[in-house]
Amino acid sequence: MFRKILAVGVALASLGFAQRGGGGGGRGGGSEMDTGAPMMMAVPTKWDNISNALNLTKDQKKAVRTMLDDGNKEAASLRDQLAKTRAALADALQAKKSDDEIKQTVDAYAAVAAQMSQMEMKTFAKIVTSLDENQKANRAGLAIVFNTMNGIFRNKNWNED
Amino acid sequence: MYLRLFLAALAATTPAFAQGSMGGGQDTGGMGRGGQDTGRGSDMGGMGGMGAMRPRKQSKFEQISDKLKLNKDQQQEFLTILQVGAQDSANVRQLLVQGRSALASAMVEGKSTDEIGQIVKAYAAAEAQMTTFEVKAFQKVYAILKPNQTSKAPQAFELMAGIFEPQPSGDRGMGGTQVRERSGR
Repeated sequence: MFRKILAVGVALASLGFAQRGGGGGGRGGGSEMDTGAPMMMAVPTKWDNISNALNLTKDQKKAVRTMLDDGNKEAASLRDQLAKTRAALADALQAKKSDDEIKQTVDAYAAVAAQMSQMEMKTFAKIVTSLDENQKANRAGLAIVFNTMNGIFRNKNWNED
Repeated sequence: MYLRLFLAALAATTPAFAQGSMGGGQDTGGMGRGGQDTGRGSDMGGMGGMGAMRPRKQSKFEQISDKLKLNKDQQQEFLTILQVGAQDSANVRQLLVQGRSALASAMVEGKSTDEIGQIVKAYAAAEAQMTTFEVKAFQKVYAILKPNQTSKAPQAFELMAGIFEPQPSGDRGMGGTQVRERSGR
């Protein structure tokens, strides 16, 4: 049974990355038209990815959106700490501080980053537990949401890059 | 139970695909976490349904190249540095995906604070390793900068956060990296 699910997981987890890595799905940016002007391709927002992947109902959309908004608010302090510890690390590098000093700064940043990931996965878990059985069985959808949640609260607006 | 197995399967398989997306050539596709705080506030009021499509965002490679005003040769070196870093950090990338999956599973299953704390601790160790790869890559980039290019190096380092990690949909890390001639340089 596990092998079967693993195989499904392999197939489905690939969907998200295939879409990103290959520039498929109409997103393959970076190309240029004959005029030399950059071709601006519209891409779905994070919210589009989440709501479409899970095929949420109207009520669920409202609830999930609230979960993401709440999670983002809760993560505000961590977001500030991340910015500060990252900036401290950047300054330490430019000042060519000792390896020990840089390691301390790296560890401080990593500790905050881990707490941020915990916050993101906490919200992911809330979303998952709110789904109905059919939605929980939608492994492709869950894979997309799982990947979308990575770093989602690092911006003030979780729906922006 | 199925969900738990799914998350385990995801953790086991995602890195392989993340590595696969690295590919060869110029387009390394799909690495890097979301960008930095844009400082544009959090007005979500007008967004709904599918009506909020957004234009393609610059990849981190492009953002950093612009920030540092890298010339064509420097961009090529930068790209090589990133490709090496991505290869070297593959195992840590896998650890991070596994860690996030373990966190999600533990929370869905209602594990104790102590158990979750252990997972967070292990995750922080992996995150420190990944950050160290970012530091090493940055130091290599810094070494190829001319004196007049170093003033924005700290901002460039901030942009490198998560550059070797699988990215959420829509974000562009190293993706679509194309070394191009910079006019006037």
